[in-house]
Amino acid sequence: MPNECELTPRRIDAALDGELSAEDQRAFDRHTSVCGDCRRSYELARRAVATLEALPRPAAGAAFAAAVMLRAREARAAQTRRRRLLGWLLSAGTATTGAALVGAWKVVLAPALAPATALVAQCGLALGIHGRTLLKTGSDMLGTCGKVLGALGTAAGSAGWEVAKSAAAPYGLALALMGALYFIWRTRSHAAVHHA
Amino acid sequence: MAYARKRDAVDESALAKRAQEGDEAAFETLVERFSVPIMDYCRRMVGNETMAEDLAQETFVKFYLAINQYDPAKPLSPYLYRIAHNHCLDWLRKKKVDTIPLAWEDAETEAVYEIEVPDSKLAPDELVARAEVNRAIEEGLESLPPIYRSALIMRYREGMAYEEIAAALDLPLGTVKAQIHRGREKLQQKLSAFV
Repeated sequence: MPNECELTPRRIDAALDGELSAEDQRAFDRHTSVCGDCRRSYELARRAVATLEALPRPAAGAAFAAAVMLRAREARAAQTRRRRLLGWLLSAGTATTGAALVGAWKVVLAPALAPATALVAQCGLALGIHGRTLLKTGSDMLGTCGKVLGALGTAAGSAGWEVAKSAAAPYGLALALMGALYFIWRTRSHAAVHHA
Repeated sequence: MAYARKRDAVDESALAKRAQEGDEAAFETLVERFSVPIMDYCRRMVGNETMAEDLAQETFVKFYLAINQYDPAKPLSPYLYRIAHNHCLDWLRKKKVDTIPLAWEDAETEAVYEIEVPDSKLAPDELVARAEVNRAIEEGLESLPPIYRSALIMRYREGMAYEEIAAALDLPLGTVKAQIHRGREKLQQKLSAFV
């Protein structure tokens, strides 16, 4: 437990702030009446604060407020001018940059890229024409293949069924299964060909 | 009683709100109300009365230009002191670089004491003694790091609550209390030569 002297700094702070409880105030008064060091500390603290509070204050009359208002209006006007100038510079900069970009495109980039652009266009056209023919041929071929495979699948299915029916159950069933798979594949590939 | 305790915080918020809406008379009223404490704060922070007036004016100009950033729901005093504090710190940093001759500053400080201490009820020797004590406290204050100085001025000259000081200096409450305690002890040491 701290002794009374150890409590003094905290109590001085509280006393100066007017926040000492009645009980603490009594204890503090009792202690400072018998302890010269703590009494001196408190007196010094109180006097330091009182002197600080009482130091002379500067005089600021109506002239001060008038000067502030004058400077404030000037500063606001300068701020507005700066903002307007910045806005103008931004607009001018944007317009200049846009014009420069358009000019650069028209004068330098467009002529330089013209052959490449034409080549790309021709390639696209050729791909379009030949691609269409190629796709049609491919589609026809896939259609034919699908039909042949479908017929084969149907035949195999029927044969398998017959074999299974006639006795060779395991082989017959397997063949029937294969036939069914062929049938599904045929249907899908046929549908894919038509879709393409 | 500290200066700030006399002011009406509610009225100040209403004035600030009107100033935000473009009412220049309301702003001017705020300037009139806060001119002495803000100038005093700047004076104690930079130790130069002429410069303090200039810094105080610039504090209000900054407030005027950025008035829409202030929230009228909050007390105005910490907001203004925060602007003043930052402005004074900038000036002190710049002054450190510029290295203003100390003799010039001392001469000015001396002149300020001669002008500011008159009290016709006191005898001449008491006047001298009081001026010496004041000078010791002012020197003690000026010898403190700026952040301690700020906290002490706000607490004991402006009567601001610890919470308001913490808001103005953007510091935790405990740090502010510790700074005020240590700063006050430094002033006590300066004063002990006179007791």
